[in-house]
Amino acid sequence: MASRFPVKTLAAGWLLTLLALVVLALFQRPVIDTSMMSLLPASEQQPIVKAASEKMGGQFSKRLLLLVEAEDKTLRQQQVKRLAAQLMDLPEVATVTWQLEAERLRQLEENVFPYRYALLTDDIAERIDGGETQALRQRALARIISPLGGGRGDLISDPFGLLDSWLAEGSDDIQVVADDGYLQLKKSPSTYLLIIELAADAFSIATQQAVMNAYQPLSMEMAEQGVSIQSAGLLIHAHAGAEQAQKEMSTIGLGSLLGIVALMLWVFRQWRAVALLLLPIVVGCTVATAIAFLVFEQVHIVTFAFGAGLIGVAIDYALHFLCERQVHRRVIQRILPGLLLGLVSSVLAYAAQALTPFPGLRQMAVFSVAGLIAAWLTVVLWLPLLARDDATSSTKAAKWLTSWQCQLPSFNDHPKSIGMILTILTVVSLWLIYNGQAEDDIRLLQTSPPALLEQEQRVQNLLGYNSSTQFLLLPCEQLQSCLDKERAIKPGLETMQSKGLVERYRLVSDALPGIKQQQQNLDRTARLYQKELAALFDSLGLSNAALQSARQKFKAATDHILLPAEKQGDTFSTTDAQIISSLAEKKATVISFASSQTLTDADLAPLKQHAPEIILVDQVDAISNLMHKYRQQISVWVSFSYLAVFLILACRYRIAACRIVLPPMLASIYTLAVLMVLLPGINLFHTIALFLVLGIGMDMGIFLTETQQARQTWLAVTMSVVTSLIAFGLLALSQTPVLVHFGLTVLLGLTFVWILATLLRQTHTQGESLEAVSSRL
Amino acid sequence: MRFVTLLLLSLTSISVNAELSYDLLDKLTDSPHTLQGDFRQEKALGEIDAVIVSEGQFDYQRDEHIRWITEKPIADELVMTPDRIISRQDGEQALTIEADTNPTVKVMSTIFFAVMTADWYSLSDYFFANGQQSGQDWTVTLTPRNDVLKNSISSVELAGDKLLREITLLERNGDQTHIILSNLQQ
Repeated sequence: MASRFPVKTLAAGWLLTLLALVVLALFQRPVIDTSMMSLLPASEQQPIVKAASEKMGGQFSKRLLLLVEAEDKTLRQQQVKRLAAQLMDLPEVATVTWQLEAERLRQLEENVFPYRYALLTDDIAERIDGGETQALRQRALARIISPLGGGRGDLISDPFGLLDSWLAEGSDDIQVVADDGYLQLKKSPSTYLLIIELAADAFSIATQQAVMNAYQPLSMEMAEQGVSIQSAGLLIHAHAGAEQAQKEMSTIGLGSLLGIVALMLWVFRQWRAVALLLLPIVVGCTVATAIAFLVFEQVHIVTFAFGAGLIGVAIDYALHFLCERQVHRRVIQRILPGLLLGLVSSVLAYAAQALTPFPGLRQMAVFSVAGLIAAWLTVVLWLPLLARDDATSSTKAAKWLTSWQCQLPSFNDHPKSIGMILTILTVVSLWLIYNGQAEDDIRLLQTSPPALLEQEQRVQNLLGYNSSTQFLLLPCEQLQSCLDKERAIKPGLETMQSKGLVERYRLVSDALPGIKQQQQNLDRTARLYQKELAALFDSLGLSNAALQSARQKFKAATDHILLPAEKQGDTFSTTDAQIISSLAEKKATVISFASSQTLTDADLAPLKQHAPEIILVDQVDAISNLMHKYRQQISVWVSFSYLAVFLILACRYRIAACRIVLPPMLASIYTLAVLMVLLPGINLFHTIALFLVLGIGMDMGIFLTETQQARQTWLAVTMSVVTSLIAFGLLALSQTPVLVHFGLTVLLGLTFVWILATLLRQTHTQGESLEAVSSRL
Repeated sequence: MRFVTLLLLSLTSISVNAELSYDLLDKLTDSPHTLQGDFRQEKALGEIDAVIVSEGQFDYQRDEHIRWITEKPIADELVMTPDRIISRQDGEQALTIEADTNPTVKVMSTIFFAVMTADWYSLSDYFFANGQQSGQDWTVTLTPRNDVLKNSISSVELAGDKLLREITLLERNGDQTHIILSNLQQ
């Protein structure tokens, strides 16, 4: 036979392809991704909401805050400098802010000085509008004669101290003051702040390692000197998550490998057979990883977890080959149709995922399909050459399994009772699924160690930071109309504040009032000057010349209006960050707020009166909604896959295709039902794992049908199930929620598949050896 | 070269003297629990050649407050506590400044509290001190240590005997505030 097929040429070709792939992949810089968000499709929000979410999310994910605390001031300052110098050297870090230079501070104040007449606090504006200008004169007098000094501006340029009041109000929000040019926390004077902006994504493992390697040893060294460092930022959590997942993947990987080797040694009692069985797995996983790194910029950690499912399928092909080989010499030709069908159905089931809009699923699909094809090619092209003179025997184990299985009831023998039990179980399961709960909250998937969360909370409290994941978005055609609208809703925000719905809020127009508002303010200042300036100067005993020059100063500045461009590049203002521009030349401003509760649309009623277009954006909620939506869609995709596979199988097996499709299908239903009972709710990742149940279960059915349930095939599929159970069972013990969901689902699913396949077996042929079967064919 | 050496020497002597000065002040002055008296404040505005005079009384309670009650030219009451400054006019609260939101005010209230309590060491965080003594009388000049303070204050001059008698604040913009305390009662 070998002469008809250029087997050796093909095998050599496959070896070369394999080597080429590995070499190519090695040139790729592997980037492993751990963000749950990147598994999900881009949101289908309005462009402006999307732009705002991305901008806010980007700022959040790229920012790392470090607090350096020490009683000794000199030590504290030294350590801040050291940390800053270390971090600034990293290419992964864009900027490190740790200084508040006096010169720069003065510069910032000087920048707004020309606009002082147009920048009035709400309190001053209200008093002028309400005719309470006398009170403002009294206050100005008090300020001038105060022994504490008048602050910025002098009697001629700003006798009423307008700029002082405005700057003081603006700084209320800022929780940091300058201490020798360092950023000192108002709430904790022995603590300095460093703000680190990352140049890359916080989820990139390369960035995490670079930053953590620079910061962790320093932090430990400092702890010995009595300097404590606290940190907050996505990077810290992402790093913890990635580290844990990587650690678990390697221990789980090693654990499953040991378990599988032990099992195979027990069955075949021969190292050579074990090596032959492992070869397709190794090749499959290598090719899958190489292709994934070649095709995708970043490979998600969950892809590797899903890839563990490959082991079960790849070993299936090899076992099938080895078991059949015990009875037939020309084994490949005999089993090729079954193997091919197994491959095609699995590839189709996985490829269906590539059609979904999920970036994560597409990656898993590419990974699995590449791995399966590679494992399959290895079995078909290499194993016949490598296993040439082997005499493996697993007869003992196969016999033991058969005799044990024979004691189990089967559908053939008890069609009524088993049919009834299965029907009842299916109905109950469907009822449970129909009434079951789902748990799509993304927060349950992205977990962090409690110590890190506590630290984050402490830092946020010290900084008076906004910990809400919600914000308000006010869309408009032009920035100026956004600013005007903000003015209109400000009373509404105050109402919400007095009701306790929000604790604080930040408007762009508080730092950068609209042109209209500034013009109104200039009118107000004119009124204030007209009514009170002479009286003020008089009570101070100042000359008429002084009065005239003060009036002159104001007149010369009546067209000075602060424009957005002036605010750009101001590191200590959030104005830039809060202005959103989307592609469609639409604008919006972000109104950030701090609140101890989650707001709903109904809470916005006082704002909607004046600006019905205002949007409450909840980033966490948006992602959870996506999870919900795609959980439902994936369930539909799984059903479609069953249908497609059934149609393909029906071509070859006619009605017997039911016997192949039913076990994984019913197993999936029972698994979901059990999960519904065990867990508070199921999520997207449970449904994705059902693809694996389908893939592995289907292969099992095909091979059993192909060999008419011969003893060796039962052994092969049982071993395939057990190896998968080892791999996924260990996954279920993980601390990473997504891995647990996967592991538990496949564990339950495959157990059910095996039980169902056993129940639905054909008892009249079972137990025969392959020779007996083939003699009848 | 000799000039440089001299300069260095003189610089050194200033800093040595500065440290001594706080010690010296500590020895010379009383640290009363309460203190009341009258004040007269003359504020000379650099750019318009005018002097604004205010008069009134003050009342100090250790660790609690300093009340600065202006009677002329307007009635105004300023209450400084370690955390905040409240300004009242006709009994109505006109302005509250949290000390930590306004660095200048914070420094000024620290100075006030420090000189009233004779807690000279708390000044050393902010100022270099250089003083002279003749018998019981002393004068000391404080110059800011950090840049933020230098933006607004050129120097502060203090003079007194067992108690503080005069404060002169020189601001960067040329304004000068001269405060004379009298009729002091402990």
